[in-house]
Amino acid sequence: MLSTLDSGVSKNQTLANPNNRTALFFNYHEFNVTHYTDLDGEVKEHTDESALCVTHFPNVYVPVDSAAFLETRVVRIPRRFETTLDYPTFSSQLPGLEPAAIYDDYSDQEFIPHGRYETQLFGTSSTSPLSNYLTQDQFRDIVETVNEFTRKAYEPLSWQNILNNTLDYLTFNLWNNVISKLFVSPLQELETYVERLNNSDLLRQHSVKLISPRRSAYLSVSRIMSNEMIIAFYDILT
Amino acid sequence: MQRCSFLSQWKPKTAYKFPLLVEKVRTFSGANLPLLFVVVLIIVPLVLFSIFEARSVYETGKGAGVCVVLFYYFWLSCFSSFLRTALSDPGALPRNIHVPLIDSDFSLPDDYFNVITLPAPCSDGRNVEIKYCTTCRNWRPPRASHCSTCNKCVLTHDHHCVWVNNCIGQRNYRYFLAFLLSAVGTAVCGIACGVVHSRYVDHIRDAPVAVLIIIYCGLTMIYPLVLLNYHIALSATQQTTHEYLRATSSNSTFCYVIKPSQRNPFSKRKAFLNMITMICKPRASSVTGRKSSHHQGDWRFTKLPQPHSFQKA
Repeated sequence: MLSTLDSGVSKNQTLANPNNRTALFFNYHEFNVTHYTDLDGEVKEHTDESALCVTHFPNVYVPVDSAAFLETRVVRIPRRFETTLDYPTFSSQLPGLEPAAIYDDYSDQEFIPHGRYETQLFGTSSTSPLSNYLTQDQFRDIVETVNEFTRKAYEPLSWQNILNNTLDYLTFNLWNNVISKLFVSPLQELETYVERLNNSDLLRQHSVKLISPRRSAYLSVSRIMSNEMIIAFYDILT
Repeated sequence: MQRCSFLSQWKPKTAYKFPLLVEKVRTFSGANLPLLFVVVLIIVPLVLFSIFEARSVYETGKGAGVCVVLFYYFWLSCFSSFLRTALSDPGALPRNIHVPLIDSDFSLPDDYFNVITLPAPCSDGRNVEIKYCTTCRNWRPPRASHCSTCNKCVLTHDHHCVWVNNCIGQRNYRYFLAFLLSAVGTAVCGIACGVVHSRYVDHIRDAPVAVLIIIYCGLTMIYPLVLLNYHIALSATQQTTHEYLRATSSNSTFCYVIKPSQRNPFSKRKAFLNMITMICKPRASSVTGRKSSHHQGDWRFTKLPQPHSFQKA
């Protein structure tokens, strides 16, 4: 198992200066486990090189005792901070393609299970099962649309926002209440977009679902996918 | 599933009910005395002014009338900003959005106890640091921090204010500043009216309430004025109270010059731009849905057992 942090090179991005240890982005949700079950059923401690990389998580958007909780998993798309700190932006690279993602020699940006942890299948690279359903271009389109909505909603340095704030102060903080009745907020448009996207053929045919960023407090966008037929590689979708 | 039986539901306390506002208002930390004290402190000068001063000052002439109108204007603004500061959601984050594992009592991997350094849009080596909140089970966005009183993570957390019984965070920072500004404005107008009234009577003894209002406004103005100055300096250097106190050693907070932090990736290096981005940050929508109901088993309002690392140290 290699990481660009260790090797200074990546399949995804070549560093200008491998000795220059600047911070690189990686998916901070993922982590490694070395004590796991092999695909042939043996439980043992593995070396750091063959550690499993946990890239999908329990679905916290449904109650713990529901059927959906057992059938679905969540892939988290983290927030990124390179472009701006003024508004939330999500990573438009599929998990496994980020600058400091972990990669292995087996999978070529494809999710290949290597072992089982907490009854779930995981590979040894940062590539998540999502890569089996969406191409990088399709994924980027979706995330960039989401980012555009959050930009509109959170951009502080626009004349419209400064004017709104001033008027709000002068009108005993009632102006914003009027504005919210007159105009649809970009965050509400984002909710509509997420709903439309979840009903689109692209996501429906793979049973992938995008969780509304509002539901996760704009912290990270989550995609749910099924693991009901975990042996059959996630082919039943929510 | 067996493990869900010990998960207690966590709900915000319902502390105040305002019949006039129709809907009930929830606060996270419950009612407290300092808040009621501030309400009384704001209402007393209005009552005194309306009964004893407003009419006599207004009748003294044109210029004084403006003072009276301004007093009422600032007072209304002060009171509405106060209510907004105290009752609006400061930007509290829901819980358990980033639960990584469910086995062995929702243990956390070792990696989740690290401070993660990620690149920021600055060319001079300033980075963003993020931490996982083990109580809320979220990767906290930069600048968010956990308030021990509210037991919640709050976005762009400034401080927990006991006087408004609420955190000051991303969504109510501007109301807080508006409250301070209007409180100072009200006090200045109150003093001006008092001075006008006392100069128009033959003897100061004939306008005892005017004198009282001058003293009252003079005294109550000090604290908001100091705090307002402090926050203007902080926002111009792009710091929250939390960040400022952490960067300052405890014995030098008095008479200390507020300097911009060199490592702060949020700083735009220009006072005006810093103030706009801090004060005018769009409030957007509340993400905890304080007034909305949620279904049983909603993870956002569930308390998970205290975390422990599952790997050997």
